Amino acid sequence: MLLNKNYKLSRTKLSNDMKIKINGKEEVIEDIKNLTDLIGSKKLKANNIVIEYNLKVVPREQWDRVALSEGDRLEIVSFVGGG
Amino acid sequence: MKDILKIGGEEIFSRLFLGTGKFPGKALIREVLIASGSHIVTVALRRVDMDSPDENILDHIPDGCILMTNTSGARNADEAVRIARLTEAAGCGKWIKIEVINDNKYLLPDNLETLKAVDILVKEGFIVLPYMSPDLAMAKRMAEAGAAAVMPLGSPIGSNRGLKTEEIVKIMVNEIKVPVIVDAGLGAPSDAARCMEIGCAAVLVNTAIAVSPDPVSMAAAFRDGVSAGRKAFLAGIRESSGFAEASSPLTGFLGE
Repeated sequence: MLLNKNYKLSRTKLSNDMKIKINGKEEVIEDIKNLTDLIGSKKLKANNIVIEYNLKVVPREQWDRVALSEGDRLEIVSFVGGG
Repeated sequence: MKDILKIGGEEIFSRLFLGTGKFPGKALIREVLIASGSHIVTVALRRVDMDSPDENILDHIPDGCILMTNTSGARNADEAVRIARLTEAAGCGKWIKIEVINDNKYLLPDNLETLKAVDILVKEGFIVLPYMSPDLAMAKRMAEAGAAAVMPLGSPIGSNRGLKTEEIVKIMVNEIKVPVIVDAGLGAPSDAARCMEIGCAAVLVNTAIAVSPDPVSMAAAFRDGVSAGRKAFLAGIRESSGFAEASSPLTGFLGE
């Protein structure tokens, strides 16, 4: 039991993974430092989307300055047809 | 004399606003927009589907159109405000159609929450057009709160039932200082013409055009309907009468 716990701890440290919520879904992300990294890893086009980070809108030019941490909540939205 | 619609300090060159939902293909939207002659075009914001990120609808909207993002999906004022702020951050301007709905059966808007959102967003500098259930007192309050126009529904969204709310909309047109724009439920160009005949400033149409087998022709038909109705309103429509009034002189010229 104790061993197992330690193992988990060290593993977390080594791989830099953390749990965050994206569009209401919990996800484990690895080696992602900021919003720019995240958008790249999801293969999203920066020009098409808007990001809300913990209920605050983050302008595109600040994406690389927002460091992600455990428990963050993100909304990633884009424009669609609507009346 | 020029007949120009002004909203939010801008001259709007078409009284037919177009919604972009439900079209069978996005590429069609540009053609429909050209046929409709619309200047104001609505879009919506949605969570990105990470498994299949969609192409951008904005690529299909010609330059020169004013984008008005709706707050569909908002169930209360706070959510509508969040959506408006996201829109602004996306660089899509300040035009917002407030749509707050918490009734899933008829999709009728929540006027009280809508008013709250109008209040907040006007103060933040947005050009705010609230979609609302037709109601005079509420429309007055929305105008006082700074709404650039009010948008009462004709009938439930997407129902194609036409202007079922005509009597109240007429009262709103007479009493409200800001433009009254009928939004939702218009099914045929004659419905749009009727709205214009009673003095509405514009109409917003989506479903009736988008689900038509020939959306481009239907857009042109709505454009004509809006234009005909507006011309008739400006010309002055005579009140109806319960009795006949002969169009030809009744003086007898045979027999007497």
